[in-house]
Amino acid sequence: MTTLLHAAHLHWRTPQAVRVADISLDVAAGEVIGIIGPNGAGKSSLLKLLAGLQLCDSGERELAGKPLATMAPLERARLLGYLEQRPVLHWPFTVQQVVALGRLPHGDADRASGVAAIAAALAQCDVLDYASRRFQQLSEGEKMRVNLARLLAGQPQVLLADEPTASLDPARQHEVMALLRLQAQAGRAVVVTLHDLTTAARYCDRLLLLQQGRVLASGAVAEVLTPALLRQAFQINASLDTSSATVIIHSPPMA
Amino acid sequence: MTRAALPLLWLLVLLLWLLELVVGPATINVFTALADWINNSDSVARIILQEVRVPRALLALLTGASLAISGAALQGLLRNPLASPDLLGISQTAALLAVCVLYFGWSQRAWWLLPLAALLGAALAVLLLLQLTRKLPGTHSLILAGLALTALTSALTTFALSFAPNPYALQEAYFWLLGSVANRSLSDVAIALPFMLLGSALLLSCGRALDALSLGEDTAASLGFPLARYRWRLIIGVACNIGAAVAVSGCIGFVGLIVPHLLRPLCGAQPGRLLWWSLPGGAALVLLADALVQLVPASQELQLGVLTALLGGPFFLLLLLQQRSER
Repeated sequence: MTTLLHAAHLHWRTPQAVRVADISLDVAAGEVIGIIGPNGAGKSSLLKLLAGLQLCDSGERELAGKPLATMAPLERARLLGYLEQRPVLHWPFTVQQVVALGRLPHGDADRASGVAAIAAALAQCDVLDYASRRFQQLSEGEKMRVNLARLLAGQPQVLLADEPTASLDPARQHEVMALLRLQAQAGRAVVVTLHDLTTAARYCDRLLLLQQGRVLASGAVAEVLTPALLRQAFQINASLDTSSATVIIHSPPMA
Repeated sequence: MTRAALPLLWLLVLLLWLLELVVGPATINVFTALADWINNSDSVARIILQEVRVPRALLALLTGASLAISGAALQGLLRNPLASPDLLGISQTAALLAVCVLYFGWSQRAWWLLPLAALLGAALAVLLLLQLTRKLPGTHSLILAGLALTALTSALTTFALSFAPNPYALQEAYFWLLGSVANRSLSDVAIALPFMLLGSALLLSCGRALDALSLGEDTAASLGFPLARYRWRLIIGVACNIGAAVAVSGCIGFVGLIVPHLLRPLCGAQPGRLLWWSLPGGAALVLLADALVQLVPASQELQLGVLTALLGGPFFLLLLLQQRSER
Protein backbone atom coordinates (compact mmCIF):
# COMPACT_ATOMS: atom_id res chain seq x y z
CA MET A 1 0.00 0.00 0.00
CA THR A 2 1.15 3.55 -0.74
CA THR A 3 2.32 5.55 2.25
CA LEU A 4 0.48 8.87 2.08
CA LEU A 5 1.64 10.38 5.35
CA HIS A 6 5.07 9.82 6.81
CA ALA A 7 6.34 11.30 10.06
CA ALA A 8 9.64 10.43 11.70
CA HIS A 9 11.03 11.42 15.12
CA LEU A 10 8.74 14.38 15.65
CA HIS A 11 9.56 16.60 18.60
CA TRP A 12 7.63 19.62 19.83
CA ARG A 13 8.36 21.31 23.09
CA THR A 14 6.74 24.42 24.59
CA PRO A 15 8.08 26.38 27.57
CA GLN A 16 5.47 24.63 29.71
CA ALA A 17 5.84 21.00 28.62
CA VAL A 18 7.01 18.44 26.13
CA ARG A 19 4.02 18.19 23.80
CA VAL A 20 5.35 15.52 21.43
CA ALA A 21 8.52 13.49 21.88
CA ASP A 22 10.12 11.28 19.27
CA ILE A 23 6.96 10.08 17.54
CA SER A 24 7.14 8.32 14.20
CA LEU A 25 4.16 7.24 12.16
CA ASP A 26 3.42 6.02 8.64
CA VAL A 27 -0.13 6.04 7.32
CA ALA A 28 -0.98 4.18 4.13
CA ALA A 29 -3.90 4.60 1.76
CA GLY A 30 -6.88 2.56 2.94
CA GLU A 31 -5.92 2.67 6.61
CA VAL A 32 -7.70 4.11 9.64
CA ILE A 33 -5.22 4.93 12.40
CA GLY A 34 -6.53 5.77 15.85
CA ILE A 35 -4.56 7.93 18.26
CA ILE A 36 -5.63 7.25 21.84
CA GLY A 37 -4.41 8.25 25.27
CA PRO A 38 -5.50 10.02 28.42
CA ASN A 39 -6.25 13.75 28.54
CA GLY A 40 -3.11 15.78 27.89
CA ALA A 41 -1.26 12.83 26.32
CA GLY A 42 -0.53 14.89 23.21
CA LYS A 43 -3.12 13.48 20.77
CA SER A 44 -4.29 16.84 19.41
CA SER A 45 -0.73 18.20 19.41
CA LEU A 46 0.43 15.25 17.30
CA LEU A 47 -2.48 15.72 14.90
CA LYS A 48 -1.60 19.40 14.47
CA LEU A 49 1.99 18.45 13.70
CA LEU A 50 0.82 15.87 11.17
CA ALA A 51 -1.50 18.45 9.60
CA GLY A 52 1.40 20.87 9.20
CA LEU A 53 -0.39 23.45 11.37
CA GLN A 54 2.43 23.51 13.86
CA LEU A 55 6.17 23.74 13.34
CA CYS A 56 8.06 20.91 14.98
CA ASP A 57 11.39 21.36 16.78
CA SER A 58 12.84 18.42 14.89
CA GLY A 59 11.73 15.48 12.80
CA GLU A 60 10.57 15.01 9.26
CA ARG A 61 7.10 15.02 7.75
CA GLU A 62 6.14 13.96 4.26
CA LEU A 63 2.79 14.15 2.52
CA ALA A 64 2.31 11.98 -0.58
CA GLY A 65 6.09 11.65 -0.84
CA LYS A 66 6.86 15.38 -0.61
CA PRO A 67 8.35 17.13 2.41
CA LEU A 68 5.61 19.03 4.23
CA ALA A 69 7.98 21.86 5.14
CA THR A 70 8.53 22.89 1.54
CA MET A 71 4.91 22.50 0.47
CA ALA A 72 2.83 25.62 -0.24
CA PRO A 73 -0.16 25.90 2.14
CA LEU A 74 -2.71 25.53 -0.66
CA GLU A 75 -0.94 22.51 -2.15
CA ARG A 76 -0.93 20.88 1.29
CA ALA A 77 -4.60 21.75 1.81
CA ARG A 78 -5.57 20.04 -1.45
CA LEU A 79 -3.96 16.81 -0.23
CA LEU A 80 -4.77 16.89 3.45
CA GLY A 81 -8.02 17.71 5.25
CA TYR A 82 -8.11 18.52 8.95
CA LEU A 83 -11.11 18.58 11.26
CA GLU A 84 -10.42 20.32 14.53
CA GLN A 85 -11.70 19.13 17.89
CA ARG A 86 -14.44 21.70 18.32
CA PRO A 87 -15.14 23.16 14.89
CA VAL A 88 -16.39 26.72 15.05
CA LEU A 89 -18.36 28.86 12.64
CA HIS A 90 -18.46 32.60 13.17
CA TRP A 91 -21.10 33.66 10.65
CA PRO A 92 -24.65 32.53 9.93
CA PHE A 93 -23.83 30.28 6.97
CA THR A 94 -26.14 27.74 5.43
CA VAL A 95 -25.07 24.09 5.34
CA GLN A 96 -24.34 24.46 1.62
CA GLN A 97 -22.06 27.45 2.27
CA VAL A 98 -20.17 25.60 5.02
CA VAL A 99 -19.56 22.61 2.76
CA ALA A 100 -18.50 24.93 -0.08
CA LEU A 101 -15.71 26.24 2.15
CA GLY A 102 -14.10 22.83 1.67
CA ARG A 103 -13.34 23.86 -1.92
CA LEU A 104 -11.36 26.94 -0.87
CA PRO A 105 -7.99 25.24 -1.49
CA HIS A 106 -9.13 24.56 -5.07
CA GLY A 107 -10.81 27.94 -5.57
CA ASP A 108 -13.55 26.42 -7.69
CA ALA A 109 -16.67 26.45 -5.51
CA ASP A 110 -18.58 28.22 -8.32
CA ARG A 111 -17.22 26.11 -11.17
CA ALA A 112 -18.48 22.73 -12.37
CA SER A 113 -15.74 20.67 -10.67
CA GLY A 114 -16.37 22.35 -7.31
CA VAL A 115 -20.15 22.21 -7.57
CA ALA A 116 -19.97 18.46 -8.31
CA ALA A 117 -17.60 17.82 -5.39
CA ILE A 118 -19.84 19.79 -3.01
CA ALA A 119 -22.96 17.93 -4.17
CA ALA A 120 -21.20 14.58 -3.79
CA ALA A 121 -19.99 15.45 -0.27
CA LEU A 122 -23.48 16.62 0.76
CA ALA A 123 -24.96 13.35 -0.49
CA GLN A 124 -22.23 11.19 1.01
CA CYS A 125 -22.73 12.65 4.47
CA ASP A 126 -26.51 12.58 4.09
CA VAL A 127 -26.98 16.30 4.63
CA LEU A 128 -28.57 17.15 1.29
CA ASP A 129 -32.01 17.49 2.87
CA TYR A 130 -31.00 20.45 4.97
CA ALA A 131 -28.46 22.05 2.63
CA SER A 132 -30.31 25.37 2.76
CA ARG A 133 -30.73 25.41 6.54
CA ARG A 134 -28.62 27.55 8.83
CA PHE A 135 -25.70 25.59 10.29
CA GLN A 136 -26.28 27.04 13.76
CA GLN A 137 -29.80 25.56 13.84
CA LEU A 138 -28.54 21.96 13.55
CA SER A 139 -28.02 19.39 16.28
CA GLU A 140 -24.48 18.40 17.30
CA GLY A 141 -24.67 15.19 15.27
CA GLU A 142 -25.89 17.02 12.17
CA LYS A 143 -23.19 19.67 12.60
CA MET A 144 -20.50 17.01 12.69
CA ARG A 145 -21.85 15.43 9.52
CA VAL A 146 -21.79 18.83 7.83
CA ASN A 147 -18.20 19.38 8.97
CA LEU A 148 -17.28 15.99 7.56
CA ALA A 149 -18.99 16.94 4.31
CA ARG A 150 -16.89 20.11 4.26
CA LEU A 151 -13.80 17.96 4.76
CA LEU A 152 -14.79 15.55 1.99
CA ALA A 153 -15.72 18.33 -0.45
CA GLY A 154 -12.01 19.16 -0.65
CA GLN A 155 -11.33 15.59 -1.85
CA PRO A 156 -8.11 15.24 0.17
CA GLN A 157 -6.10 12.04 0.13
CA VAL A 158 -5.39 12.22 3.86
CA LEU A 159 -8.07 12.94 6.47
CA LEU A 160 -7.15 13.98 9.99
CA ALA A 161 -9.99 14.29 12.51
CA ASP A 162 -9.52 15.39 16.11
CA GLU A 163 -12.08 13.62 18.30
CA PRO A 164 -14.85 13.63 15.71
CA THR A 165 -17.12 11.58 17.99
CA ALA A 166 -16.83 13.80 21.08
CA SER A 167 -20.22 14.97 22.41
CA LEU A 168 -22.15 12.68 20.04
CA ASP A 169 -24.62 9.98 21.08
CA PRO A 170 -23.71 6.34 20.24
CA ALA A 171 -25.73 6.24 17.02
CA ARG A 172 -24.13 9.46 15.72
CA GLN A 173 -20.68 8.19 16.78
CA HIS A 174 -21.28 5.10 14.66
CA GLU A 175 -22.40 7.21 11.69
CA VAL A 176 -19.28 9.37 11.82
CA MET A 177 -16.85 6.49 12.21
CA ALA A 178 -18.57 4.43 9.52
CA LEU A 179 -18.25 7.40 7.18
CA LEU A 180 -14.53 7.70 7.92
CA ARG A 181 -14.09 3.96 7.37
CA LEU A 182 -15.76 4.33 3.99
CA GLN A 183 -13.23 7.00 3.09
CA ALA A 184 -10.41 4.58 3.90
CA GLN A 185 -12.06 1.93 1.77
CA ALA A 186 -12.12 4.47 -1.06
CA GLY A 187 -8.32 4.68 -0.85
CA ARG A 188 -7.81 7.59 1.52
CA ALA A 189 -5.67 7.56 4.64
CA VAL A 190 -7.53 8.43 7.85
CA VAL A 191 -6.09 9.42 11.22
CA VAL A 192 -8.45 10.08 14.14
CA THR A 193 -7.91 10.88 17.78
CA LEU A 194 -10.42 9.13 20.02
CA HIS A 195 -11.34 8.99 23.66
CA ASP A 196 -13.71 6.08 23.44
CA LEU A 197 -11.65 2.89 23.45
CA THR A 198 -14.44 0.67 22.11
CA THR A 199 -14.91 3.00 19.13
CA ALA A 200 -11.16 2.81 18.57
CA ALA A 201 -11.25 -0.99 18.74
CA ARG A 202 -14.12 -1.25 16.28
CA TYR A 203 -13.17 1.18 13.58
CA CYS A 204 -9.37 1.47 13.52
CA ASP A 205 -6.88 -0.77 11.78
CA ARG A 206 -3.99 0.30 13.97
CA LEU A 207 -3.68 2.28 17.19
CA LEU A 208 -1.10 4.62 18.62
CA LEU A 209 -1.30 4.87 22.42
CA LEU A 210 0.24 8.07 23.77
CA GLN A 211 1.25 9.10 27.24
CA GLN A 212 2.86 12.41 28.13
CA GLY A 213 3.69 13.12 24.52
CA ARG A 214 5.39 9.79 23.90
CA VAL A 215 4.29 6.57 22.22
CA LEU A 216 3.51 3.98 24.85
CA ALA A 217 2.48 1.36 22.31
CA SER A 218 1.56 1.10 18.67
CA GLY A 219 0.29 -1.65 16.44
CA ALA A 220 -2.83 -3.72 15.86
CA VAL A 221 -5.81 -3.12 18.13
CA ALA A 222 -5.28 -6.29 20.19
CA GLU A 223 -1.60 -5.49 20.69
CA VAL A 224 -2.32 -2.04 22.10
CA LEU A 225 -5.50 -2.52 24.12
CA THR A 226 -3.96 -4.98 26.58
CA PRO A 227 -4.85 -4.86 30.29
CA ALA A 228 -1.28 -3.91 31.21
CA LEU A 229 -1.06 -1.01 28.76
CA LEU A 230 -4.55 0.22 29.62
CA ARG A 231 -3.63 0.19 33.29
CA GLN A 232 -0.41 2.06 32.62
CA ALA A 233 -1.97 4.69 30.38
CA PHE A 234 -5.42 5.24 31.88
CA GLN A 235 -5.09 3.82 35.42
CA ILE A 236 -8.03 1.47 34.87
CA ASN A 237 -8.53 -2.26 35.06
CA ALA A 238 -9.89 -3.01 31.63
CA SER A 239 -9.59 -5.54 28.86
CA LEU A 240 -10.57 -5.97 25.26
CA ASP A 241 -13.28 -8.51 24.45
CA THR A 242 -12.05 -9.48 21.00
CA SER A 243 -15.29 -11.24 19.97
CA SER A 244 -17.35 -8.04 20.27
CA ALA A 245 -14.46 -5.56 19.89
CA THR A 246 -15.49 -3.95 23.17
CA VAL A 247 -13.26 -2.58 25.90
CA ILE A 248 -14.71 -3.63 29.25
CA ILE A 249 -13.82 -1.69 32.36
CA HIS A 250 -13.76 -4.18 35.25
CA SER A 251 -13.52 -1.93 38.26
CA PRO A 252 -13.61 1.73 39.17
CA PRO A 253 -10.49 3.72 38.41
CA MET A 254 -7.50 2.67 40.43
CA ALA A 255 -6.31 4.85 43.28
CA MET B 1 -30.79 37.24 -7.36
CA THR B 2 -27.63 38.19 -5.46
CA ARG B 3 -25.45 38.32 -8.55
CA ALA B 4 -27.86 40.67 -10.29
CA ALA B 5 -28.11 42.94 -7.27
CA LEU B 6 -24.42 43.96 -7.27
CA PRO B 7 -24.57 45.85 -10.61
CA LEU B 8 -27.83 47.41 -9.39
CA LEU B 9 -26.03 48.65 -6.30
CA TRP B 10 -23.34 50.24 -8.49
CA LEU B 11 -26.12 51.82 -10.57
CA LEU B 12 -27.56 53.28 -7.37
CA VAL B 13 -24.11 54.70 -6.57
CA LEU B 14 -23.99 56.35 -9.98
CA LEU B 15 -27.45 57.87 -9.50
CA LEU B 16 -26.61 59.15 -6.02
CA TRP B 17 -23.34 60.56 -7.31
CA LEU B 18 -25.24 62.48 -10.00
CA LEU B 19 -27.70 63.65 -7.30
CA GLU B 20 -24.72 64.98 -5.31
CA LEU B 21 -23.79 67.14 -8.30
CA VAL B 22 -27.27 68.66 -8.40
CA VAL B 23 -27.77 69.23 -4.67
CA GLY B 24 -26.27 72.30 -3.03
CA PRO B 25 -27.02 75.79 -1.73
CA ALA B 26 -26.53 77.36 -5.17
CA THR B 27 -28.82 76.37 -8.01
CA ILE B 28 -26.82 75.58 -11.14
CA ASN B 29 -27.53 73.84 -14.40
CA VAL B 30 -25.19 70.87 -14.20
CA PHE B 31 -25.29 70.25 -17.96
CA THR B 32 -24.35 73.85 -18.76
CA ALA B 33 -21.60 73.73 -16.14
CA LEU B 34 -20.31 70.50 -17.62
CA ALA B 35 -20.37 71.95 -21.12
CA ASP B 36 -18.43 74.99 -19.87
CA TRP B 37 -15.90 72.70 -18.23
CA ILE B 38 -15.44 70.66 -21.41
CA ASN B 39 -15.16 73.82 -23.54
CA ASN B 40 -12.81 75.33 -20.97
CA SER B 41 -14.91 78.46 -20.72
CA ASP B 42 -15.13 80.24 -17.38
CA SER B 43 -18.48 80.49 -15.65
CA VAL B 44 -19.71 80.49 -12.06
CA ALA B 45 -21.58 77.24 -12.67
CA ARG B 46 -18.42 75.58 -13.94
CA ILE B 47 -16.39 76.72 -10.92
CA ILE B 48 -19.05 75.46 -8.53
CA LEU B 49 -19.18 72.12 -10.31
CA GLN B 50 -15.44 71.71 -10.69
CA GLU B 51 -14.22 73.14 -7.42
CA VAL B 52 -17.06 72.24 -5.07
CA ARG B 53 -19.49 69.60 -6.22
CA VAL B 54 -17.32 67.10 -8.10
CA PRO B 55 -14.62 66.90 -5.38
CA ARG B 56 -17.31 66.61 -2.72
CA ALA B 57 -19.21 63.87 -4.56
CA LEU B 58 -16.01 61.98 -5.36
CA LEU B 59 -14.82 62.16 -1.76
CA ALA B 60 -18.21 61.02 -0.45
CA LEU B 61 -18.05 58.04 -2.82
CA LEU B 62 -14.44 57.16 -1.99
CA THR B 63 -14.75 57.69 1.75
CA GLY B 64 -17.93 55.64 1.97
CA ALA B 65 -16.45 52.77 -0.02
CA SER B 66 -13.22 52.82 2.04
CA LEU B 67 -14.96 52.93 5.41
CA ALA B 68 -17.38 50.16 4.48
CA ILE B 69 -14.80 47.76 3.02
CA SER B 70 -12.61 48.35 6.07
CA GLY B 71 -15.53 47.58 8.37
CA ALA B 72 -16.33 44.41 6.45
CA ALA B 73 -12.67 43.33 6.50
CA LEU B 74 -12.33 44.05 10.23
CA GLN B 75 -15.49 42.09 10.99
CA GLY B 76 -14.11 39.17 8.99
CA LEU B 77 -10.63 39.40 10.50
CA LEU B 78 -11.81 39.68 14.09
CA ARG B 79 -14.83 37.44 13.37
CA ASN B 80 -16.96 39.91 15.21
CA PRO B 81 -20.06 41.66 13.80
CA LEU B 82 -19.55 44.67 16.06
CA ALA B 83 -16.09 45.50 14.74
CA SER B 84 -15.81 48.75 12.82
CA PRO B 85 -13.04 51.34 12.42
CA ASP B 86 -14.65 54.04 14.55
CA LEU B 87 -16.12 51.87 17.31
CA LEU B 88 -12.74 50.27 17.88
CA GLY B 89 -10.89 53.58 18.02
CA ILE B 90 -9.03 53.03 14.72
CA SER B 91 -10.37 56.21 13.11
CA GLN B 92 -9.70 58.18 16.31
CA THR B 93 -6.10 56.96 16.52
CA ALA B 94 -5.66 57.93 12.88
CA ALA B 95 -7.19 61.33 13.69
CA LEU B 96 -4.86 61.84 16.66
CA LEU B 97 -1.75 61.41 14.55
CA ALA B 98 -3.25 63.54 11.79
CA VAL B 99 -4.01 66.32 14.31
CA CYS B 100 -0.40 66.17 15.51
CA VAL B 101 0.80 66.66 11.93
CA LEU B 102 -1.64 69.55 11.46
CA TYR B 103 -0.67 71.08 14.80
CA PHE B 104 3.03 71.12 14.08
CA GLY B 105 2.39 72.41 10.57
CA TRP B 106 4.14 69.43 8.94
CA SER B 107 1.35 69.01 6.42
CA GLN B 108 2.64 72.20 4.74
CA ARG B 109 6.06 70.60 4.15
CA ALA B 110 4.87 67.54 2.25
CA TRP B 111 1.33 66.69 1.14
CA TRP B 112 1.74 63.01 1.95
CA LEU B 113 2.61 63.52 5.62
CA LEU B 114 -1.01 63.96 6.70
CA PRO B 115 -2.35 60.75 5.12
CA LEU B 116 0.80 58.90 6.17
CA ALA B 117 0.32 59.94 9.81
CA ALA B 118 -3.35 58.94 9.72
CA LEU B 119 -2.38 55.67 8.06
CA LEU B 120 0.24 54.91 10.73
CA GLY B 121 -2.27 55.73 13.44
CA ALA B 122 -4.81 53.34 11.92
CA ALA B 123 -2.21 50.56 11.55
CA LEU B 124 -1.07 51.05 15.14
CA ALA B 125 -4.65 50.76 16.40
CA VAL B 126 -5.38 47.58 14.39
CA LEU B 127 -2.16 45.98 15.64
CA LEU B 128 -2.98 46.87 19.22
CA LEU B 129 -6.51 45.48 18.89
CA LEU B 130 -5.25 42.25 17.35
CA GLN B 131 -2.91 41.74 20.30
CA LEU B 132 -5.67 42.56 22.77
CA THR B 133 -8.18 40.19 21.16
CA ARG B 134 -5.66 37.37 21.45
CA LYS B 135 -5.35 37.96 25.17
CA LEU B 136 -9.01 38.90 25.72
CA PRO B 137 -11.23 36.89 23.37
CA GLY B 138 -14.93 37.67 23.04
CA THR B 139 -17.17 40.43 21.77
CA HIS B 140 -17.38 42.41 24.97
CA SER B 141 -13.63 42.49 25.50
CA LEU B 142 -13.18 43.79 21.98
CA ILE B 143 -15.77 46.53 22.43
CA LEU B 144 -14.26 47.52 25.78
CA ALA B 145 -10.78 47.57 24.28
CA GLY B 146 -12.12 49.78 21.47
CA LEU B 147 -13.82 52.02 24.02
CA ALA B 148 -10.60 52.41 25.98
CA LEU B 149 -8.63 53.20 22.83
CA THR B 150 -11.28 55.68 21.68
CA ALA B 151 -11.32 57.42 25.08
CA LEU B 152 -7.53 57.61 25.23
CA THR B 153 -7.00 58.89 21.70
CA SER B 154 -9.92 61.33 21.92
CA ALA B 155 -8.48 62.73 25.16
CA LEU B 156 -5.04 63.08 23.58
CA THR B 157 -6.58 64.75 20.52
CA THR B 158 -8.44 67.23 22.75
CA PHE B 159 -5.21 67.81 24.66
CA ALA B 160 -3.38 68.55 21.40
CA LEU B 161 -6.22 70.81 20.25
CA SER B 162 -6.11 72.79 23.51
CA PHE B 163 -2.73 74.07 22.37
CA ALA B 164 -4.16 75.35 19.10
CA PRO B 165 -2.48 78.61 18.12
CA ASN B 166 -5.77 80.50 17.63
CA PRO B 167 -9.54 79.95 17.98
CA TYR B 168 -9.96 79.73 14.22
CA ALA B 169 -7.48 76.84 13.97
CA LEU B 170 -9.25 75.14 16.87
CA GLN B 171 -12.64 75.48 15.18
CA GLU B 172 -11.25 74.22 11.89
CA ALA B 173 -9.74 71.14 13.52
CA TYR B 174 -12.91 70.55 15.53
CA PHE B 175 -15.14 70.60 12.44
CA TRP B 176 -12.66 68.41 10.58
CA LEU B 177 -12.85 65.86 13.38
CA LEU B 178 -16.65 65.78 13.18
CA GLY B 179 -16.32 64.37 9.70
CA SER B 180 -17.32 66.05 6.47
CA VAL B 181 -16.60 66.05 2.75
CA ALA B 182 -17.64 69.68 2.28
CA ASN B 183 -15.19 72.34 1.07
CA ARG B 184 -12.70 69.85 -0.29
CA SER B 185 -10.78 70.11 -3.54
CA LEU B 186 -9.63 67.74 -6.23
CA SER B 187 -6.19 67.71 -4.59
CA ASP B 188 -7.83 66.05 -1.56
CA VAL B 189 -9.16 63.40 -3.92
CA ALA B 190 -5.68 62.99 -5.39
CA ILE B 191 -4.20 62.55 -1.89
CA ALA B 192 -6.72 59.93 -0.81
CA LEU B 193 -7.28 57.98 -4.02
CA PRO B 194 -3.94 56.10 -4.29
CA PHE B 195 -4.09 54.95 -0.67
CA MET B 196 -7.73 53.92 -0.98
CA LEU B 197 -7.10 51.99 -4.21
CA LEU B 198 -4.10 50.22 -2.71
CA GLY B 199 -5.95 49.49 0.54
CA SER B 200 -9.04 48.17 -1.22
CA ALA B 201 -6.96 46.00 -3.57
CA LEU B 202 -5.12 44.52 -0.57
CA LEU B 203 -8.37 43.79 1.26
CA LEU B 204 -10.07 42.31 -1.81
CA SER B 205 -7.11 39.97 -2.28
CA CYS B 206 -7.82 38.55 1.19
CA GLY B 207 -11.41 37.54 0.41
CA ARG B 208 -10.84 33.79 0.38
CA ALA B 209 -8.68 33.98 3.50
CA LEU B 210 -11.49 35.81 5.32
CA ASP B 211 -13.96 33.16 4.15
CA ALA B 212 -11.66 30.47 5.55
CA LEU B 213 -11.29 32.40 8.82
CA SER B 214 -15.02 31.95 9.35
CA LEU B 215 -14.07 28.46 10.54
CA GLY B 216 -11.41 29.66 13.00
CA GLU B 217 -7.66 30.16 12.64
CA ASP B 218 -6.64 26.49 12.76
CA THR B 219 -9.15 25.34 10.16
CA ALA B 220 -8.33 28.35 7.98
CA ALA B 221 -4.66 27.34 8.10
CA SER B 222 -5.58 23.74 7.26
CA LEU B 223 -7.49 25.05 4.22
CA GLY B 224 -4.31 26.73 3.02
CA PHE B 225 -4.95 30.20 4.44
CA PRO B 226 -2.76 30.71 7.50
CA LEU B 227 -3.67 34.02 9.15
CA ALA B 228 0.00 34.87 9.63
CA ARG B 229 0.32 35.15 5.86
CA TYR B 230 -2.62 37.53 5.50
CA ARG B 231 -2.53 39.50 8.75
CA TRP B 232 -0.20 42.22 7.49
CA ARG B 233 -2.02 42.54 4.20
CA LEU B 234 -5.28 43.09 6.09
CA ILE B 235 -3.74 45.53 8.58
CA ILE B 236 -2.09 47.59 5.82
CA GLY B 237 -5.29 47.44 3.75
CA VAL B 238 -7.43 48.77 6.61
CA ALA B 239 -4.77 51.32 7.56
CA CYS B 240 -4.53 52.67 3.98
CA ASN B 241 -8.29 53.03 3.71
CA ILE B 242 -8.94 54.50 7.14
CA GLY B 243 -5.81 56.64 7.10
CA ALA B 244 -6.75 58.17 3.75
CA ALA B 245 -10.43 58.59 4.67
CA VAL B 246 -9.61 60.28 7.99
CA ALA B 247 -6.93 62.47 6.42
CA VAL B 248 -9.37 64.01 3.93
CA SER B 249 -12.74 63.79 5.63
CA GLY B 250 -12.21 63.41 9.38
CA CYS B 251 -14.04 60.83 11.47
CA ILE B 252 -17.23 59.74 9.73
CA GLY B 253 -18.61 57.16 12.11
CA PHE B 254 -20.71 54.01 11.86
CA VAL B 255 -20.43 53.50 8.08
CA GLY B 256 -18.09 50.53 8.58
CA LEU B 257 -20.54 49.03 11.04
CA ILE B 258 -23.87 49.65 9.30
CA VAL B 259 -23.05 48.78 5.69
CA PRO B 260 -21.87 45.16 6.19
CA HIS B 261 -24.94 44.51 8.34
CA LEU B 262 -27.33 45.93 5.78
CA LEU B 263 -25.71 43.93 2.99
CA ARG B 264 -25.38 40.51 4.66
CA PRO B 265 -29.02 39.55 4.02
CA LEU B 266 -28.54 40.49 0.35
CA CYS B 267 -25.22 38.87 -0.48
CA GLY B 268 -24.91 36.12 2.13
CA ALA B 269 -22.64 36.06 5.12
CA GLN B 270 -19.36 35.17 3.34
CA PRO B 271 -16.84 37.83 4.37
CA GLY B 272 -15.04 37.60 1.01
CA ARG B 273 -18.15 38.38 -1.01
CA LEU B 274 -19.15 41.08 1.47
CA LEU B 275 -15.97 43.01 0.64
CA TRP B 276 -17.07 43.44 -2.98
CA TRP B 277 -20.55 44.51 -1.91
CA SER B 278 -19.34 46.90 0.76
CA LEU B 279 -17.60 49.13 -1.79
CA PRO B 280 -20.81 50.28 -3.53
CA GLY B 281 -22.83 49.89 -0.32
CA GLY B 282 -20.62 52.30 1.62
CA ALA B 283 -20.40 54.70 -1.29
CA ALA B 284 -24.19 54.77 -1.64
CA LEU B 285 -24.76 55.35 2.08
CA VAL B 286 -22.31 58.24 2.39
CA LEU B 287 -23.48 59.84 -0.87
CA LEU B 288 -27.08 59.64 0.36
CA ALA B 289 -26.15 60.98 3.81
CA ASP B 290 -24.16 63.84 2.28
CA ALA B 291 -27.05 64.73 -0.02
CA LEU B 292 -29.34 64.75 3.04
CA VAL B 293 -27.12 67.08 5.10
CA GLN B 294 -27.28 69.54 2.24
CA LEU B 295 -31.05 69.30 2.01
CA VAL B 296 -31.69 69.82 5.75
CA PRO B 297 -32.58 73.50 6.22
CA ALA B 298 -30.21 74.98 8.81
CA SER B 299 -28.24 78.16 9.30
CA GLN B 300 -25.07 76.15 9.08
CA GLU B 301 -24.81 72.86 7.19
CA LEU B 302 -25.11 69.75 9.36
CA GLN B 303 -21.82 67.82 9.54
CA LEU B 304 -21.86 64.49 7.70
CA GLY B 305 -20.24 62.71 10.66
CA VAL B 306 -23.00 63.98 12.92
CA LEU B 307 -25.70 62.53 10.66
CA THR B 308 -24.02 59.12 10.35
CA ALA B 309 -23.63 59.05 14.15
CA LEU B 310 -27.31 59.96 14.56
CA LEU B 311 -28.22 57.03 12.31
CA GLY B 312 -25.49 54.68 13.54
CA GLY B 313 -25.91 55.09 17.31
CA PRO B 314 -29.43 53.60 17.47
CA PHE B 315 -28.42 50.99 14.88
CA PHE B 316 -25.54 49.88 17.10
CA LEU B 317 -27.85 49.60 20.13
CA LEU B 318 -30.29 47.56 18.04
CA LEU B 319 -27.48 45.20 17.07
CA LEU B 320 -26.45 44.75 20.69
CA LEU B 321 -30.06 43.95 21.65
CA GLN B 322 -30.34 41.54 18.73
CA GLN B 323 -27.16 39.74 19.80
CA ARG B 324 -28.50 39.49 23.33
CA SER B 325 -31.81 37.98 22.18
CA GLU B 326 -30.01 35.45 19.95
CA ARG B 327 -28.20 33.97 22.95
